[in-house]
Amino acid sequence: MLAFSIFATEGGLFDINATLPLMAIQVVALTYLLNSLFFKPVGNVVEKRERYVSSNLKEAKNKLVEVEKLEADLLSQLQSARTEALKIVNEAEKDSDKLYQEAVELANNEANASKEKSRLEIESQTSSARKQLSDQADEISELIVNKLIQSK
Amino acid sequence: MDSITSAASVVAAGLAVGLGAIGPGLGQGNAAQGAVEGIARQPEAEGKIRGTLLLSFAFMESLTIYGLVVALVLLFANPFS
Amino acid sequence: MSFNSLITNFAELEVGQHLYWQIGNIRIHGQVFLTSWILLGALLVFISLGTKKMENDPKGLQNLLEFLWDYIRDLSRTQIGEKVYRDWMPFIGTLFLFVFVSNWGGALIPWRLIKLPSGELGAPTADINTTIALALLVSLSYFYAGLSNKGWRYFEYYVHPTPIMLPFKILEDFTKPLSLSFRLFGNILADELVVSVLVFLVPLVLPIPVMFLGLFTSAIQALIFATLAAYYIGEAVEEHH
Repeated sequence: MLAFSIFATEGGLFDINATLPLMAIQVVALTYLLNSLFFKPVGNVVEKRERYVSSNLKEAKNKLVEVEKLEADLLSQLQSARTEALKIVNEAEKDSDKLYQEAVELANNEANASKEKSRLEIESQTSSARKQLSDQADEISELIVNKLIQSK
Repeated sequence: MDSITSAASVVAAGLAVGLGAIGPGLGQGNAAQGAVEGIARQPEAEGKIRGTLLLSFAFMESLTIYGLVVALVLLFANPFS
Repeated sequence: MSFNSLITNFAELEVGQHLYWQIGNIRIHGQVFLTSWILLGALLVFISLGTKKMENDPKGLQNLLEFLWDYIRDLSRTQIGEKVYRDWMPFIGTLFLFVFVSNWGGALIPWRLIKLPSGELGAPTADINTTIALALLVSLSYFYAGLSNKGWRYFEYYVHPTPIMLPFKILEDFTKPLSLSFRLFGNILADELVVSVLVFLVPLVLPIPVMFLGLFTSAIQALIFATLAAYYIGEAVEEHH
């Protein structure tokens, strides 16, 4: 009884009447109206942009991965080129070393040979000179002996 | 309405709001204490803590509001008048 | 002089007086519909201005509307869950916008300047009919959400941890709309009453901080109403294992 008398009073804080269902209908209508005027169009735009941003982000990430791969490739190529160059330089050095050694050896040999030859020549000349000298000395001594014998 | 009912209604309305404010007051104090401690411990979580605090404040506040509604019923829509 | 009229005349407050419109043999509160039409018209104009020319680089009004949309989506997604939040987002958003616009419109616009033959214009949410209508819509929608998503298995929710919970869960179905409607009604009415009592006592300066507090509470109440509605729907569609 009490509760009913609160709500049934005409004019009052808790006067519940047909305002309630009409307001409910109005809110439901507003829901549909806002859905078509606000939530759908704004949602479409926002989600389109989100998709765009995320796809761009994905693309950029893919590109970054590609760039990293290329960079690594390049780096390995550079490395191999560097080792190749080092190898070539080493080989060339070895080659030139060998050539130098050979040239030095050849020159030494030649020098030794010519030295030997000149030594032999000197020796032969010396011996021939000595022989000639001794021959002359023999002649002179013979001459001296002959003279001595004649004068006597 | 006779004067004794009016007097009782006014006193009851005052009591409804006044007593109804005690519990939520204590509760809000506790909640604020917890929130301040939480912010002091983790200052980076301040935004989240503040949001939760406001929401729980509103829940506690609504208890006092129920008391206020009873007081309003007694004053403006008195069932005994 | 009766007790009621004594108080209302003394404080120059018109509490519980309505502008009645008679349609056929039903009577409705005209002032509630008048204010709600004005406020909702303003809201719709605002929204259609903002969505008239949608661009990929948002600016001005469109930016604000997109922020609002994002806010409502976050709210419904956290409360309802990833799976069905899309279906209920317009409803939650409409509740939020309606309550917010009503509360702020009631607090910001000087309705007192418009004289009515009886009653006075104010926030539509300060009328118990509006808040009960909103709360009943929330109740209906969470029942509908539960039944349409889980069929008859929805009623497992009532005996979920143990069958002992059954009476409490049934009681909850009644207390949910009651507390929803009375929380909103009480807060908004209390704001209006406090401001008008203060204006009556000290007409200058002093009511201004209270008005700001009222604006803050109004916004928070709109947020709470929408959050709770979303939470109830989320509770109804949640899968138990």
